[in-house]
Amino acid sequence: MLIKYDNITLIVVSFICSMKCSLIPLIIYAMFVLLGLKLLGQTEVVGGIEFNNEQVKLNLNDATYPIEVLEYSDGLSDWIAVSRNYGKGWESVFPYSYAIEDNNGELSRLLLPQGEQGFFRKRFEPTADGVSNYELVSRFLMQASFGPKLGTIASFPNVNSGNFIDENYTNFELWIDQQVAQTPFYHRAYWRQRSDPNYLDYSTQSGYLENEVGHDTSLGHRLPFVRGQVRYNTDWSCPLPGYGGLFDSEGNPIDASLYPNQLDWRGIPKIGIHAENSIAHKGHEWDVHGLKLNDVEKVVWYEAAINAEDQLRQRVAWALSQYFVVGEEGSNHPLTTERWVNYYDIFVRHAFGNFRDILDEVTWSPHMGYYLSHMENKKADSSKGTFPDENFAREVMQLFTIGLWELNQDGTLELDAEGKAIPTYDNEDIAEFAKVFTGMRRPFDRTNIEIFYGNYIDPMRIQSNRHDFSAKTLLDGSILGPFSQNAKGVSDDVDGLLDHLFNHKNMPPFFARFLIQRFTVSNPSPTYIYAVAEAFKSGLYKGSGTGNRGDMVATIKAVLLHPEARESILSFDSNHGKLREPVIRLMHLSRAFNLTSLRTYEWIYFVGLEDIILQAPYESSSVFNFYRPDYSPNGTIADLGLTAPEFQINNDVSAIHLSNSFFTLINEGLIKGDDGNFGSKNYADATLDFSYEIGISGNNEALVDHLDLILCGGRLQSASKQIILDALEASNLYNLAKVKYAASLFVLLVEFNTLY
Amino acid sequence: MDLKKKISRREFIVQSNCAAVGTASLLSSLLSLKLTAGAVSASNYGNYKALVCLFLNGGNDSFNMLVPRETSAYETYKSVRGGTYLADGVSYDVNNLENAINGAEGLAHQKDHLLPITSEGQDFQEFGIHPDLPFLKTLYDQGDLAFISNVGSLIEPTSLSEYNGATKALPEGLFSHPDHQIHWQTLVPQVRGTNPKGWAGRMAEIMAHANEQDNISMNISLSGTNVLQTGFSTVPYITDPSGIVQLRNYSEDPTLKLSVDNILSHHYHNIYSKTLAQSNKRSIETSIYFKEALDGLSEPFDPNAISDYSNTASRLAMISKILEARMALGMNRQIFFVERGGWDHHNEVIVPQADLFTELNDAIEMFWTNIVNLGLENNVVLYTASDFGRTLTSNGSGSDHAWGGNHFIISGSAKGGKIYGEYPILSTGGPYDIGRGRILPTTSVDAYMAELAGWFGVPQSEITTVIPNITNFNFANILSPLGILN
Repeated sequence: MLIKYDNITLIVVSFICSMKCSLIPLIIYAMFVLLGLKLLGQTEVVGGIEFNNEQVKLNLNDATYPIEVLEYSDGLSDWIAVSRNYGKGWESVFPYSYAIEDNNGELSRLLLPQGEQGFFRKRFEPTADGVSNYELVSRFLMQASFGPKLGTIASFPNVNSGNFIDENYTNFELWIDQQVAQTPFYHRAYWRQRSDPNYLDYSTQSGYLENEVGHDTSLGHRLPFVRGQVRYNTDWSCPLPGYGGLFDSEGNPIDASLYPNQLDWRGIPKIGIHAENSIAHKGHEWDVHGLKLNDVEKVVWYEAAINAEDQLRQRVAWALSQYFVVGEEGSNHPLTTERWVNYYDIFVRHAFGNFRDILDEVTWSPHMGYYLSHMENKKADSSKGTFPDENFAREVMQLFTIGLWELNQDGTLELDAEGKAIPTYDNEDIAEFAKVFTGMRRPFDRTNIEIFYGNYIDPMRIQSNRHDFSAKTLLDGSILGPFSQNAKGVSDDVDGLLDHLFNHKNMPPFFARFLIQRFTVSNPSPTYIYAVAEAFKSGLYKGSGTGNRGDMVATIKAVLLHPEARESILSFDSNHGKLREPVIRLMHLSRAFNLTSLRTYEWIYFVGLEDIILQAPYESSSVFNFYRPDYSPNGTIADLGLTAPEFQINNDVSAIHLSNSFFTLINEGLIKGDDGNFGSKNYADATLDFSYEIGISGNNEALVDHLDLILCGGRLQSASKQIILDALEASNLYNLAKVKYAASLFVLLVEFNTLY
Repeated sequence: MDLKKKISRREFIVQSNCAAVGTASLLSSLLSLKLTAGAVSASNYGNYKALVCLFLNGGNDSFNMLVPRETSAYETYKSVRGGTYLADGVSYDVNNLENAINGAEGLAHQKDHLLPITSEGQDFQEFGIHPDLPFLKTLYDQGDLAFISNVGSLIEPTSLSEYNGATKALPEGLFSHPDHQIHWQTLVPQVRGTNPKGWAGRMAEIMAHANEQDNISMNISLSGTNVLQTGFSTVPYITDPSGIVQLRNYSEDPTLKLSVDNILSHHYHNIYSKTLAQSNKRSIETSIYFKEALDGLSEPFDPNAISDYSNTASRLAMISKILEARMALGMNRQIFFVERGGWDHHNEVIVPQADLFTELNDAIEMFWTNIVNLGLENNVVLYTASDFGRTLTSNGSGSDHAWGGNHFIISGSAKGGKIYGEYPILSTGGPYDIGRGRILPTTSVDAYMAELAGWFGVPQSEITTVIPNITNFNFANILSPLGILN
């Protein structure tokens, strides 16, 4: 069930303090009137207030209405849910979990510590409107994919069934199972099929990865690559006959070398259409963006996010790429492509596999080895006064496995006898573990891959005489090794430490919180974290799964199918939900209206998002991702002690840029301009398709309801709806112009930009 | 400034619970800020003053920025860094370092490549500045630049034996990037996390009356959200070198404007919706006001004119334009934040640091020339901050996270041409080495920042709100512990 907020009637306020103050409710009632708050219906005083020496007990009154939420405020401005009854009895709401005394069928009572001060009010909903299956599915797809489309909603398992919802969320689980069974979209495979015509298919040979596929002649040379030390772009200068280059008006390739004298003042051939340019740009090729050297992997990523069928896998991969971060800033050789897409495919490959395998592949990846500098790391050398590099040893704990503080299984801090949080490791542990990550070297070059700075595709190789073989003391005081002084000894050492961290009690709740924040809510309750951590630990979701610790499917199901993720009624809790990631919002818009490339090579190319909206694939500015998990914006959220990571990249500049990006994309398409390709010049290289919306645009109500469904998960509040309807009325537009106007307003609504 | 926000007991409890123990009383005194906010009245402020923080994100290997040239101290430096990276006799060429290094593993600069300076007050007089920072030498020699040596986050004075014996309180999360970055900005290193808020944010709240205008925050960031400038009730205004961005069609289409205003002014129950609407509303309103001020300059800001500037230069150029518009903006006190990343040189120090220093040097030269042309060289202080210094010893290719490091202040108001603090002996096993050449700081960040806060106009009675630990260090002049700016 989902009820719009504005149906809520405020009926009860009460006040608790350590002194007896029986007149207070009346005073507060008067204050509400002065504050102009809506006071409809009958006013009643919540039960009564009991005092004893230790506690104050507030009677909650058992539910009279289908939905009741008790809220607290210290200053009558920011109200936060502390207790709720959604028909299953009163329960406390994270994070202000006051104890509730269940009085054996008598009135439930909220137990407040003596001395607590503030205001309480109860909100209720007298009639619960149902939410349609389509709306529930759309909201789910906002969490689990890069955005719903009308088609994906309509084809959702049993979406037209009368008993779509059950307590196990069976149909949502069914969709997850279907997604798990989908053929993976491998980013590296997509790129190899469309780049170097020399690439051979090694994908079925032993010792090679499944994404080392061959070039597909029918797809030509659509994406740039490096062969040897030569870069092969897809523009007119491409030295490969038959690939890239120029096209005649029929779309046939032209060999530019046959026309050496027909160059314009910039040295570009005057004949033909340049391959990287849009067919819409004939004669105006300077109005589109040429593909920047470091953006090839991003074009592949946008293709996957917008068009790949394995949406859940891609969303999980995107989340994992924000956990095991490698970013272009820090000169990590951005000019090549294959190492980036191959690293990203670790997450695609194991999105539904096991976390331990991801940790292993990341650790041995030369791409990560370069980024966190454990590649070429050597044991201490007293003759030179050098020590092992500590970089990876630190971050593998801080970011990839156990985090900074000892945690309980529900994600709360474990405290020592004095009530202090307990650090998980100290600098001596880091220096100790730095010795483990020694003797890992860049793999030897080979054929059939992009080699420019060396082989960054295969796992790092071992050079055992560079490894520190001394026994290492682990975090629990146990000893790792010593192992035999050969290559196997090195991998045993690394395995031993990774197992140690993977099996640490912090691993499940630490990863659980991260994953929940990426998919559903910013401030999961301890119960939610515990459920996800349990699934990670046991490898089982409701009894099914591999049973192995680190099972990703069980963990993801626990994230997406927990009542805290699924029950839309929780939208009544003011702290429920999250700000959506900017890139996901942009992908959602692109999917909802089927963004279609007009370029010859069908690129969907968002340019420079990292500078405009502070988020883009492969563009985290450091290993600490785009935002900290504990970022808390000033104002209500910080005052409540809650977090909202995405607000770290929502600032005065980026928020306006993002809104402008939406506006341009809707009204003009992807266009070269001052703000990356959200400009206002003449020729779009990709546009949205509003043909369905034009068909229903005669009826404002129908248009708004449809946009509500595909952009807001059916969560539009009536005030917001009225704003849009009024604007459509006032603007006096028709057909496409009206649709664009409506969509331009929709993307400014909080219901599109946040998710709860 | 908007000071209506109330810091409640509830929040206090939340913060205390999140923080490590022993901080409750400290936070409690910070939380009493609401009582003192804006306590300093406008009449107490004199001329215009601006602080510019240049944050070198990642941990600058700053013992290669300021190096001993005195013979024995240089040899000690050279030895602990594993020798020089260039063979003797090879000349320095920033554009050709990559080739020149050719496999050498030492991290030391050659003595004759360093730009020579001298300083009183240290064990010896001869020092050298990194070869790619010639403008710093110019400023140093003319007395407008001061170095502060071996600065790092501390809670109280701490000796090596006290560190080893764990008999003094130490900063939380030593040697980790986020922790040290936050400590530099909160100045409350006994707390892990950002609950104490940034010192410039707290300072702006105390000095709220310094500016005629409250449409624009005293704090302006050219590098996004940050801890430094976020106070209990204030946040920085964020802009960037692309110019002042405005919501498209907002000013042109009255229907759109009305809809947007209605959307953003609605009272949302959901905290994420509410925060987003409030923040976007403020962004839109400020952008209009700000653009007006910059457009009114005799030479309005033109983002195209700086489109080929470096990361740092474009931000500093934007700051000099905002300084130019200070009257139109109604500002008497401003704090700017610029961050440059890329200093985490585990892999390789010499070449990437040389590139970054070149960028910094050129950007600062451009900026300071603008400042001098505006006649503001005594009214502006530019200072550096960075996570930490780095290990003196090499990890075979670069250096790792450490603690104390060197910094500089640029201002006509500074008593420059001198290295303040105590330049340490650069050796393992030295009096401040806690292992691997991680140098225990001898000057706390508090002392360094107190110089800035004192100059900026924080009264003595309020200094502990801005720099809570400053009283742990027993300085004679709490508003200018090092004697640089006052």
